[in-house]
Amino acid sequence: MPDSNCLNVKHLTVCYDRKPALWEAQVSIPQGTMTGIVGPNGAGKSTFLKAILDLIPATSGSVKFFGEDYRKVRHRIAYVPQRESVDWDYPISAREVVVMGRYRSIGLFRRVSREDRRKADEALDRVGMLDRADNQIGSLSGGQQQRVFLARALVQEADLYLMDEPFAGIDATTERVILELMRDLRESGASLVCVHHDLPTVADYFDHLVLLNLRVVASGAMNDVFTREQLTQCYGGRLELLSKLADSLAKLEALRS
Amino acid sequence: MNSPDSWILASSWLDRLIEAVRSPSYNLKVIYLGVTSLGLAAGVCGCFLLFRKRSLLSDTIGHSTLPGVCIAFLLYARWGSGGKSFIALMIGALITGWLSVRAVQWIKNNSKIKEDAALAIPLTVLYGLGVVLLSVVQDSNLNLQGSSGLEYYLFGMVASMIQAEAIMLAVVSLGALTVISLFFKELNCLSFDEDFVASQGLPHRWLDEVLMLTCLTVTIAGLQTVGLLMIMAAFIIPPATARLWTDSMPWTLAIAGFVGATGALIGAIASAVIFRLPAGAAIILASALLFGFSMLFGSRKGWVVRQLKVARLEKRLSENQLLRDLFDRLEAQQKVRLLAGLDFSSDLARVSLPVHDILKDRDWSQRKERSVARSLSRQNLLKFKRGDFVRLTTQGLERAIEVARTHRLTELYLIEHADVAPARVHQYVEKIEEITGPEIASDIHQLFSNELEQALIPAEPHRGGDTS
Repeated sequence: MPDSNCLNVKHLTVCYDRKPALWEAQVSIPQGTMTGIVGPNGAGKSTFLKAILDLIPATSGSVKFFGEDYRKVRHRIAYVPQRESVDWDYPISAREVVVMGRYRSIGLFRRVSREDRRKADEALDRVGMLDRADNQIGSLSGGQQQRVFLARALVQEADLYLMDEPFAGIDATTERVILELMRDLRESGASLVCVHHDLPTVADYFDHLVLLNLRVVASGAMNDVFTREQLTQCYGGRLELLSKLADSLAKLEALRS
Repeated sequence: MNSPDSWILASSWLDRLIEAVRSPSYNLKVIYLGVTSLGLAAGVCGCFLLFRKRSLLSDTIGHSTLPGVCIAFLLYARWGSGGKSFIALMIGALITGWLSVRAVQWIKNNSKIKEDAALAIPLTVLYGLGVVLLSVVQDSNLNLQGSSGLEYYLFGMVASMIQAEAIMLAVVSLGALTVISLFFKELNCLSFDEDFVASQGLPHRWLDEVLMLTCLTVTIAGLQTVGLLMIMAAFIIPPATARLWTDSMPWTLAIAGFVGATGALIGAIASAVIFRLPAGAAIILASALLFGFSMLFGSRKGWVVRQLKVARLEKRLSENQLLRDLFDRLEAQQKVRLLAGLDFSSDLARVSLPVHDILKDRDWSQRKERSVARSLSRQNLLKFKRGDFVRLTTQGLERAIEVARTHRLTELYLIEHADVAPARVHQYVEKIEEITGPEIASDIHQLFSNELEQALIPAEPHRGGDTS
């Protein structure tokens, strides 16, 4: 029976030095959705992505992509790491970074073909970076670097895109470009899962939500999960405090005027 | 006056240099082949170490080979045919060198010790062990044959290089270059973004192992030439030099290989010519000269290039400042706000403006005033009139309006969105203007496009007395 979920995670536990970074996570994400993963700092959001991709060892749990093991469906999954995870001083051009997304399909001992470069240029064009293709990556702005990473994921022609903070520290133009692109991808049937840090935009950007704070507090469609109770539970009352503060400020303003 | 003795010394020194370069003996040719092979391979391998932030690993390997060399020597003296077997010593070095690599990984994975300390512990421990063993080996009571040559492993010696060693170096170098060119695509990716290689299902651990073994082999092969104390420099200096010349990985490898080979060759010649000069030291100093030259003149990040860039930036900045000041004066004379879309060309452009008077608030020298104005006139943005009066051309006025607009919008942006005090905002913008490229400017324009009429230039926000 074909699985209608692009991702099924059961009882996933990850520990660093015996300290749990993720507890018994249970998540199911349907295909063709845009899912945001939010939670406070140190909640294990990046850990979650890295663990399901086998980049860090999980203590226990099972992870299925499209009902299969990761090994079998690797070609259907593209990963966009956090921008800070690499050294941007590396002597490489934007186009060369994007071509890296084709390396698996090119295979060992084979050279990069003209077709691969053409696909890379196409992807760069989609993120509006074609005119910077030959620039060394360090000379690009943060947002442009993020777009190059996204282009590298695009050339993998995947069905599921896993992105770690694609909206962190970028300019307004890039935010627009990335968001449009993500929506296009969803239109064409792909699924997207993004670690996200910005609560105010989360309801606009995504249709599904995973609230994470060491464990999965809630997950599901945006309307069911993005509620005050759930958020409060996830952020441990800190949100409550903030909204109280905002309320009292509003009252004060009203008194003054 | 030079004494006759030193004259003879100097002239023989020079003679030997000329001979070493123009008609080297067979022995010298063998040495040249050996050292250039080593320099080339170490330079190329070093690039990957450098970008994987593992440069110091070659130092750990180098120092850790000493106990291996000594143990191999002792074993061979006891059970072998006596004397020194070059192969046996290599194998000994390989074993303890490899042990040190494993030890570094083990310490890193099984304790909270960070990379730098994890590198230092095997280095010092194994080197200490090596020094102890060396003193045993060289104990005159034991009277072991050939033990006096072992200190070459510390500082390097090329004079005694035999044909077999040179050929071994050439073969190792060729092997290392072959491995790297076969896996270049993957190794390049691994050095840039290891997690990505792993997520792709490419064999990243295996690739890492291949890279480490290649570097280990080159290090061991080069021990006797450069010496285990300084072998790391052969891996670090060439890539660092190459980085100053290029922004492409293939070129970085090529230049690093070239620098490594050239430095090694120069060092070997110096060592052959100057009596008792350790080859390792000479090779490192020669490479360091190339590095120093590149620091100054490197085409990508060299000092000269950076100075030129700064100068160009400052020139553009000054030009913008002058244009803005001219515009401010025009605006003040007209006593109206300007609309960019208006037909301003005919009247406004014809007004002559006193440059010196306009610039009196800036701390510019007369020379700077002249040169900035001249540069603008060369770009056909202004024309000189009599005295120090100038007149903006139509293009000049357009540019000036654009510059002033961006400047003021940036000021507005800072006041409204970054809570900068209006009185201080001017200073701020002067400072940050050098980093605000056209992209940021267009973002700011866009931000205010709703609040302001499209073409309007806001009044200077930091000056009191709104004109409206």
